[in-house]
Amino acid sequence: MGRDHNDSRLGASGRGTVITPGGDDTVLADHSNRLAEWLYDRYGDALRTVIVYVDDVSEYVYLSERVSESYSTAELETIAAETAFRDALTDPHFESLFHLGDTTATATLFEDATLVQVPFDDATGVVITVEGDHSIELDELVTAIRDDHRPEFVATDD
Amino acid sequence: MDVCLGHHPWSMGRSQESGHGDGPTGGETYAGGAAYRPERIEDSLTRGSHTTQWLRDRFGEALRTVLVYDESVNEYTYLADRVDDQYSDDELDRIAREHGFRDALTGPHFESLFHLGDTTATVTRFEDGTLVQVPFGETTGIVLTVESGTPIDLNGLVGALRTDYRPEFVSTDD
Repeated sequence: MGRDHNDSRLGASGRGTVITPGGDDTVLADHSNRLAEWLYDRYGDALRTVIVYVDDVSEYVYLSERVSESYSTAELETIAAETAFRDALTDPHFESLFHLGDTTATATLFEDATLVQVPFDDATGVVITVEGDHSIELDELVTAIRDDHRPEFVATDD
Repeated sequence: MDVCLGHHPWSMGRSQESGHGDGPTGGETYAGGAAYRPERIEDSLTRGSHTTQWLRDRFGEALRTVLVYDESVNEYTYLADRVDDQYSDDELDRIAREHGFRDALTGPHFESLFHLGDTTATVTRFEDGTLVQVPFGETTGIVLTVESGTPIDLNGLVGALRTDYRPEFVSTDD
């Protein structure tokens, strides 16, 4: 995977590289198009954002117009670089408390939107937000993403 | 903080004869609070609330646990047999006490990051079960777990729990 980001990238927040749409240096989007398309087909205009991450690179592979209008670039960058996403997914304390196996997804419902995080492995995953008035069928969504719609950069035997 | 293990009519298992009945009983004091299992429904935090029954109807056998809490009490109002078999009383106790863990970790931080309004629920999906926590206020809420593979319409579930099936011990203007 290419890591030859040029200066046009938005990022370098100190916690990794964030790439917002519209740049010509997309790293992951080319490998995530089918996932983003599938999500858009599923949620339509209720789909707000799709972020894919690999190691310390986070990239918006979908950003709805109203989201890009309601957040500054700096905010979008901060959100994408947010490591709490991954902390919540890999929290060893929670996993050992319940011993129900690995965490396969987390969701946070806010009044205005729902955030779903699906890890593929320790280093890669996808973060999706959907409008709050649109219902999420979590089990089906997570199963489909993990089994059938993995971005091509994610190894399938993880 | 109290932890209650309910003996409600719909709380299948957890019977007195189950052999696991040596754990925390009514009023026994623990470091950090008392673990309490109401013997009578009138003693329960939910006081016969329809919430648990509604969840049982909705999820059937896939429902694993229902836990309600306020500022001083954590109470299991439903505990499936297999969950009872899977965890020791100590573990059930510990889980009940830590219901707020994820909220404490990410709640305020996420809210200020996204400014999408208050958090209405958090969900953790494990390989073998899914945990849904619905806070009603700063100190009250409900936590349920269901088997993995169970269809969960998140928004429908959370919306219903916050409105029509809100436990009666929670004031409606919380």
